[in-house]
Amino acid sequence: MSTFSAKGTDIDVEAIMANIRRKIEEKRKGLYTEDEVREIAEMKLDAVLEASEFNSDFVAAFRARDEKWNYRFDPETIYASSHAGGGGLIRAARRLLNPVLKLFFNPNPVISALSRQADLNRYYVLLLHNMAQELTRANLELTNLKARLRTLGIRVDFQGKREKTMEQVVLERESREPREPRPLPPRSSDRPEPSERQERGERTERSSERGERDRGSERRDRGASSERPERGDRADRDRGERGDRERGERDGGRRGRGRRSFRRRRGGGGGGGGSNRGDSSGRPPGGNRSGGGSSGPREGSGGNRS
Amino acid sequence: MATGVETDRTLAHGSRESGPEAPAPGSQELVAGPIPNVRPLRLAFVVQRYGEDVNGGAEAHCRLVAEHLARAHRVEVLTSCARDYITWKNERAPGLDKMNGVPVRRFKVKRPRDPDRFGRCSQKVFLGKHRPEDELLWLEEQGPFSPALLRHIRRRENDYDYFIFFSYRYYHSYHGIKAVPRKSILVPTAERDEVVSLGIFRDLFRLPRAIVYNSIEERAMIWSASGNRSVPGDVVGVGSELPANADGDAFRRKFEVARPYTLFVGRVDPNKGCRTLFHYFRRYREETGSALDLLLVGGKQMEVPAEPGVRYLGFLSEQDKWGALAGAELLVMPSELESLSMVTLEAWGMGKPVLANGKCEVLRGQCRRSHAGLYFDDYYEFREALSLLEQNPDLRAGLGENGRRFYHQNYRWDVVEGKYNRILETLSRDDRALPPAPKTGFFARLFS
Repeated sequence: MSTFSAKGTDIDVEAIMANIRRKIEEKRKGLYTEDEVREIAEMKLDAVLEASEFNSDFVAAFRARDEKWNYRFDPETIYASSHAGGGGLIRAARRLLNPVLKLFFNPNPVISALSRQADLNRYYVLLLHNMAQELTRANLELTNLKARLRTLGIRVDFQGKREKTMEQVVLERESREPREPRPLPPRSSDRPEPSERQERGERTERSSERGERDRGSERRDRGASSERPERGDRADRDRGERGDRERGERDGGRRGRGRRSFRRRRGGGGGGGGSNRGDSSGRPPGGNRSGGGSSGPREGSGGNRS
Repeated sequence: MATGVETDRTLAHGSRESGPEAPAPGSQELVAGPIPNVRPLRLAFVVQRYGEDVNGGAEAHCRLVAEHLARAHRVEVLTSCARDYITWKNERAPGLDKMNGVPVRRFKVKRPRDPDRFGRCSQKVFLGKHRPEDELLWLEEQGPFSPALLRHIRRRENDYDYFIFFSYRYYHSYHGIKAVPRKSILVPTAERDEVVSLGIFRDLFRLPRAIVYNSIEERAMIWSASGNRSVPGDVVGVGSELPANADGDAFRRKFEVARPYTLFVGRVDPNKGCRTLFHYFRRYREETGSALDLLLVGGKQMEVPAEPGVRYLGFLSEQDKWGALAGAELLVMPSELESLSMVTLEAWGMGKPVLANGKCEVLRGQCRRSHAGLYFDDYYEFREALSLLEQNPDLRAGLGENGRRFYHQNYRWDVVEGKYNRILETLSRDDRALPPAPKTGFFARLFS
C-alpha cells in the first residue's frame, strides 16, 4: 500500500463533478464534428436496438453484409437451384421449360419488380441512416439554439431590470432636486433653448388650433401636448434609441380621439405624456425616459408621476 | 428500545458534512452509546444459500457477518441445499454441517424453479393487474421453496434468541419473518427495482424487530416504499479484512502488467454494467489516446471484447485480488444496481479512488459522502472523470486517502460488529424488560 499526500483531504467530489458537468456543457455548446454527430446518432440507434434486446452489433452487421438482409435479384435468379450437385441440371430443365411457363404467366414483370425492390431496400437503408444523422444534427442545433435563447432571455431580463433601476434613480434624483426648468446643453447653434422651444411649439400649436377650430383652453393645452412628441421624436432620432417606439405612439396619439379622451379620463397627458411636459415639470423634453413610456397607461402614469 | 438517544459519535468522525452514515431525523436508531459488554446470544442467520463457493453479494455478506458474530455469540446458519440461485437445485447434503467454525443447517428445496412458470408469474405481477395472492405465488415460484426450513423456524423458535434474515425478496425471509416477527432482524439488501414496491413487502418491512440497512439510500428507499420509519434500524453494511501486505508490484510481475490500469472486480455481466463499460472504455481510448488498460477480475457471464487495453484475468486468489487493487490506478464500478458494493469499500480501504456509475444511488451517495470517488451518468461524464483521474495523481491520492478514512470510520470489522452487537443488546434489553409471554398450551399453563 502506498502513502498518499495530504492534499486530498480538501477534495470536494461534488465540486469536481459540477466542474465536469460545466465543462461538458461548454463543449456541447460548441460545434460538433461530422464524426461526433455520427457517433451520437449511432449511440441513439444502439440504445433503440438494445432496448429491443437486439445484438448491439446489429447495425454494423446490417451494413457490412448486404446479402444477409437484402436479396439479389436478376433475371437468372428464378431459375437458380440451391442443390449443389444437381443444381445445374435443375437450372437447365427450368430454363428449357421456360417457354411452357410463359404460356401460363409472364414472369418478366415479377423479375423487374423484385430487382427494383432490392435496389429500393438498399436506398432506404442509406436514407434512414442519413435521416438519423440529420435528426441528430437538428437536435443538437436545437439544443444550442435553446441555450442561446435562454442566454438572450437572461440578458433581456437584465436590461429590463437595469432600465427600471435607472428610471427609479432618475425619479428619485428629480424628486430631491428643486423643480425648476433645467436648460439642456445646446446641441446645435440653430436650435432654440428647450423652454423656448416648448413655448414656441405650444404657441404654434395653439395658434393653429385656434385658427382651425375654436376650442376651450383645456383642449388646446392637450392638443399642444399631443403635438410635442414630433419634436421630441426628432430629438430622439438623433439619439437613435426610442425612435420607433415613440413614432408608433405618436401615430396612435394622432389617430383617434378615443384614445385622447381615455388619457384625459386617466388624467395623463397626451402623446408624449409626462415625458415631454417640460414646461410643467421642469424636466427637459425628450430627455426623460422614465416618463416617456411606450404605452398609454405607462404614459399616463409617467405623467402623474411628474 | 433505546430511541431518540444520542447516536454513536464514532460514526460521524472525519466527515466534513454530516456523518457518513448518519441517522436520519425521525428514525428509530438502535446504535446508542458505547459498545456494550456482549452477552452471548443464540443467533440464527437465515439465508437463501451459504458457502464460500457461493458467489452473491448478500450471501457473502451473511457469511462474513455470521463468522464475525460467532466470536461473541452462539451462531447457527439456516439455509437451503442450493448453490445456484436460478435453479435452486439441491446440490448439497441436507443436515448439519460446519463451515469456518460456524454450524450450518441445510434444508432441501422442495422443488427447483420452473423458469416458465416463474416467467409467467413475473409477467403478471410486474406488468399487469394482480392480487396479493399472485405476489405470493410469484414469491413461491422464485424460490428457494423450502417448507422444511420454515417448519424448523416455527418449531425451534425457542432455541434461538434472534433470527437474522438476509435478502427480503426470497421465500424464506417473507414467511420466516411472518412466523417469528418478534425475534426477527432483517438485512434487506434491497436494490432499486420493481420488487421493492410489491404490496406483500410493504407489510413485511413493518414486521421485524429491527432492520439493518446497507446504506442510507437503501433505507430511504425502503422507508418511502413501505413507510416503516417506526421500525428501529441502523445503517451498518459489512466489513472487510484488509491484508497487511498487498503487493501491487508482485501482481504486476506475475500477470505481466506493464502499463497503468483501471480495475474492475466482480461478475463480468451485462447486468453489472460491463457492456456499457466496454463501450465507454473503447471510446475513451479512441478519443483520448489513453494508455490506461482495463483489467477485469471475476466470473464471466458475457464475452469480453478482444480489444487493445482490455484484459480479462478470471478468478484470482485473495492475495492476487488484493495485489491487483494495490497496483491499480483506480477501481471502476459500472453497475447500476448495488445495495452495497463490497469491492468499492475494499478499494477505499486500500486507498484507491473509485469511478462509479452515478445512476446507482448507493454508489453515488457513498462517493459524495466519502469524497473518495467520482461518478458518471453518461459517456461524457465517464470520459471527463476518467481523464481527470488518469492525469491527476494528486487527485487520485487525495480521493484514495478520503476513501481510506471513510472505510476505517464505517466499514472496519470492529465498527460493524459493534453496531450489530449494540442492536442485539438493545433488543435483548428491551425483551428482558418486558413481562414474560404467557405460555401456550394447556399443560404448559397447568404446570407453570
